[in-house]
Amino acid sequence: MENKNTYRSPKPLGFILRVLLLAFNMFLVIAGCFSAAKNMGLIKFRKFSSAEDRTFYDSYYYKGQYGSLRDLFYLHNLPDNEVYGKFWEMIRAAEHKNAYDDFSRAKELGYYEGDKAETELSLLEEMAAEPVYPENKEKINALLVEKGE
Amino acid sequence: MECKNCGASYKLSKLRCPYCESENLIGKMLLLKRSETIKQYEREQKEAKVRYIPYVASKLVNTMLLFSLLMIVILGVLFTGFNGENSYASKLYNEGRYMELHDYMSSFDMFQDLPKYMSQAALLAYDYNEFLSHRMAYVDDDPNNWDPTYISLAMKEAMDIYILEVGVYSGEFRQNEEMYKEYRERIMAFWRGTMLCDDEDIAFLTEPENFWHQSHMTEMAEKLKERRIEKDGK
Repeated sequence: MENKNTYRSPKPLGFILRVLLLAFNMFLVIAGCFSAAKNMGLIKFRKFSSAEDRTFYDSYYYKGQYGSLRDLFYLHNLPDNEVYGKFWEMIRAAEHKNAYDDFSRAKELGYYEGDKAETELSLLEEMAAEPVYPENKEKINALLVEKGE
Repeated sequence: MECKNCGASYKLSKLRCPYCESENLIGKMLLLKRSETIKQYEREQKEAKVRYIPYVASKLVNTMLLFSLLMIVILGVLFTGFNGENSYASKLYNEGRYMELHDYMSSFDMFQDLPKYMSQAALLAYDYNEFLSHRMAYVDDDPNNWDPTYISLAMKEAMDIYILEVGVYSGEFRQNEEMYKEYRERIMAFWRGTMLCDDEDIAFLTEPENFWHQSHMTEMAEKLKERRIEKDGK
């Protein structure tokens, strides 16, 4: 016959305390794993973004309302991919144009001495010469013409 | 076995001699002992089962306790490497990806957990981004199209960025000096070049002590609009 002492039942109090300690430890481990993953950037909260439907943004694009487009794109956290890349290119072109306007006018009036105006202009000209999306060529050139007004 | 009565041989397990029907006492004794043995075996098996479960549970709890303690030690060692200098937030900050840093910090509500200069950089970048959007949307090339209400929003945003007004993270941090320089340079170009602010306007806009009223900024925007129309008309 088996030795009764081979399978001894644990003392109830000790068992309960160990279970409680285990529960606490597991909580620490899970929280720690989550924090470590968050700290390493493995967990990223993805903002809700609308379905990949460009039509909503087309009207802003065609009207040249790049500021509103920019606002919406950052709000909806839309990626620069094959769906939205066309719009992002125009937003960036408009950013260069705005920066050129500000720096060149400030320089003209004697309040700025750097070369950022020239830098922004050359970036805009590069984009106009070789846009990533050929359908933007005309629009970027229009921005170039505007800057001269 | 051999029957004591008739001498016939038969199986020990039989209770009576198959030939003379005399009782087999040894067979009876064996049967009794067998059933007692079986009962004892079943009893002890039941007891073992009952004792076995808590035994196994206790062993399992001990093993998991050891494992969890080991995991805590490992995570503790890893965490000592995850101070502000090595975290994902630091990576984004050092690479100048401030908008991503803002998204990351706001999604996990980490602004109070990380160094103040980092939180300030994320918030400033967000405000600067808002300013650029509103500058693009509301400050047309043609000042006749300017709406002073919206222009004042862009002006106010620019002012907050310039004086580093970001709530509890206001103030200058050495780590963000390059950022301040870049943003202030752009904002000053906007004020001086596009909005045609004069020295008095700049003094107002760059004074952190100034209390902002929407009406004041709207008045300023109206004045600047007229000034710009006048200049463009010449």
